[in-house]
Amino acid sequence: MAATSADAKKVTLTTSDNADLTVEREVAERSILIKNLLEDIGDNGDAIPIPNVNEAVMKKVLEWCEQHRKDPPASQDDDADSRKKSTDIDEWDQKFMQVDQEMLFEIILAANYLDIKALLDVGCKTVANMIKGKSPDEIRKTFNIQNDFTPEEEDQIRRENEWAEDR
Amino acid sequence: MAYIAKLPNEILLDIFEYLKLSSRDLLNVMLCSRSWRGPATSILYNSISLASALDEDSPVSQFAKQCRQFHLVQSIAIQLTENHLMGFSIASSDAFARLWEICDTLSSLLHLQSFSLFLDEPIGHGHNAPSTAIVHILNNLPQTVVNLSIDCDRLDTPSLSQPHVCHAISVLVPRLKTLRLRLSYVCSGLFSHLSSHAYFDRDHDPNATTSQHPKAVSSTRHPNATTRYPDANATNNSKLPKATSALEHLVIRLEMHPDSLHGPTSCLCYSGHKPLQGVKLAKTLQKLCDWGAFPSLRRWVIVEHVDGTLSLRDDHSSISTAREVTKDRVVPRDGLLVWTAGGFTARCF
Repeated sequence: MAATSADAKKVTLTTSDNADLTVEREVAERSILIKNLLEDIGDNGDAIPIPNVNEAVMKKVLEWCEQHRKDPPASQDDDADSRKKSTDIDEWDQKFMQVDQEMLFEIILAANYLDIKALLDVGCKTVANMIKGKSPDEIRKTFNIQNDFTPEEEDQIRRENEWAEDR
Repeated sequence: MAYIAKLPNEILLDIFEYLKLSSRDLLNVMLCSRSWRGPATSILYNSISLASALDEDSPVSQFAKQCRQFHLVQSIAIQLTENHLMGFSIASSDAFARLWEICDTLSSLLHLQSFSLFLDEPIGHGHNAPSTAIVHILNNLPQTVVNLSIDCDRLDTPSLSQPHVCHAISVLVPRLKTLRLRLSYVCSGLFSHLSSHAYFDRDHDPNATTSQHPKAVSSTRHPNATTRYPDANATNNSKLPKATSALEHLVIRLEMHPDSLHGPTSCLCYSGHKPLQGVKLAKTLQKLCDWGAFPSLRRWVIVEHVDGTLSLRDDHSSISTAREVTKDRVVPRDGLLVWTAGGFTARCF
């Protein structure tokens, strides 16, 4: 395979519900999982099975990959910097993440499975922003979570962590 | 249906990581459900920052009394507040009670890797931090601590009868990987555990004046001062470092305030406020490196900061001078990077 034609080359991905999606290799390679697969098995034109992601979610993920196809790859240094953990999200990504919760968590799981670090980060930031500043009750309501603590347990958690309350 | 319940713990950890700037948010998350309690607790306790105070309701005190998760703490930052320092200055028993709490707590943190100590930003010149207190804190750090950062520009004047901060740090130096210091008093004691010839204050070191000036001896024997210790098997074994240090990164910041009586100035211990010179410190460090005392050292930096902003005269501007040596990249020994007039204002910490 000539290196010059590699960029324009397309790959086909088969989703969990047996849909074939054809995209440019550069776009698909935002996923480290797919990138490694292509490098390991060589690109023989066969469709790559993605058994953990369905068509609707995969389309959404590929939409993100298309938008971010030219982003520089994440380096080690980025990782150290991102420990400051700003939850700022750029405008396009914010709009992209305006989906129902079912889709939001599917995207996060897919990003994790496909190893797309930047998309996983955007997803996690989105959820973190939904939690910020809310009381436990409000958080439970937001995500439809059941409170499974006894009042005594709740008291105990509050007591043990009083030192952290005011900050 | 709670779709969020599909997320595995590793992703919950990623999400809660973004909340760690607010322990209030993490606490609220912890109270949501049993399945969230574990991951939120491990994030909250992984890296904590506590302020001291005189009263029993201070965060440090509450933490010491209530915490059941000592094993989760890997990194802790303790801030000695003005209120606590004031307590020391009037020899209040509460101040010492809080100090013992800090020491007990630290020694219980069996997985602690990083420790950082810093002072309140004072209004006015602030109270001094007693060296004794700092030494006690350092002595109580668990063996697991490999990253140490002390930002303490208002140490009281060291006295020979008191435990000495430089020595307390020196004991830790062999196992530390990162050391960042900003102290109002520093002396050769800092590296005394590595070599008895680590003099950057030889003129003031009581041992040096009584002994036969080892540096002078060595320089007559080796006209080229940078010669790397070739005659190890000869008589000069004393030059071998007594111990090596695991240090990878070392940053020492020296402060000068030309006109300020109370402002921070980095002095040599026991020298009567003689300012510490970065050049001497750098030469000593270079020598220790040459002798092989820092086999893992990747980078060391000495920053001398002259803060002219408080100067009444016009002939002082703020200057920062950094001497930097990186292992892979050969920087000339006297390679100076100079920024003037506030061009380099970021603190090293």
